[in-house]
Amino acid sequence: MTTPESWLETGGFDYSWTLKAYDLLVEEKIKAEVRIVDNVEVSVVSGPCPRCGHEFTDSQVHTAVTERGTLGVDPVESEVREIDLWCDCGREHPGRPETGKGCGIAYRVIATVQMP
Amino acid sequence: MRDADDFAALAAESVRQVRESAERWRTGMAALVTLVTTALLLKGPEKAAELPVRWRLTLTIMLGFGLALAIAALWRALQAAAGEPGLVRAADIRARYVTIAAFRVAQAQRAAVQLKHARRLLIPALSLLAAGMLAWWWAPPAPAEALISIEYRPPGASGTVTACGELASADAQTAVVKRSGTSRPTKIPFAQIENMRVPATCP
Repeated sequence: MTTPESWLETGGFDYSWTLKAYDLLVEEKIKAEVRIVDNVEVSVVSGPCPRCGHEFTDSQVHTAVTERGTLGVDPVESEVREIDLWCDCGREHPGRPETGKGCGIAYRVIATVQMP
Repeated sequence: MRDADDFAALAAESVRQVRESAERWRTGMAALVTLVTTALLLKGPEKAAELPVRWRLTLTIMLGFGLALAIAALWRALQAAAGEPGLVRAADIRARYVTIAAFRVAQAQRAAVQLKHARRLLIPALSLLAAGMLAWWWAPPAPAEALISIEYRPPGASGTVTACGELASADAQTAVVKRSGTSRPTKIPFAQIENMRVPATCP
């Protein structure tokens, strides 16, 4: 049994994680898409973490209704969106603080917009 | 990434936020409509019968449309504030919206659209009601009927008789007096007339 990677205290936001995620996206190991339904934008990113390799699925809502109107429903100008996410694998990573997630890295993936 | 968490919290608050906002809007709208319609009631609906027909028709159209739009506006605001309860299946939600959080934001978005419709309907509603109210204040009263009181002596009568009412005609040597509430007008030959007056009202 391999020792799980420890929580990354420094360098969690390093751009190299985004580059590794991009490679995984090109290899189609990471799947990322954005759906817009009833003017609500939801992203779903699934696949391995670029650092620890554990599989997980991240879903985020990118639209909110506030007292200043509905934010995030501008006309779709691009067919892709940049999604920022944390590793949220839910596995054990020694040294992880109580408020931390996954192995401690954050990265960005490009998701294609799927219109209904 | 803290910002992403904050946005997720903001999105989660969407439904509560929009329902509370709709509740306040509904109360405000109802107060505005009540204010304008109370001013109309103070004037007294029965007073409308005293207006000339053209003015009455114009006011009926303005106030009728205004009230219809105000009701529609309040109905939309009520839908936004109260929602429309119904059954949903988790599988259907996930198939369409992916996550429950997105479904909740979509519900909030729907309520926000209903509230927007309510606001858009209320503007012409209040404009019509206020314009109708002002028009009513300045509407001229219907012209009063020209009344006449004729004292005449029918053939063979010892004294005179008085006929009071609207002078319908006075030709062919005969005056015709119409009295409201009677089916037949009184026809008085000129030769029988002894005196004529123009009274403000008939007894």
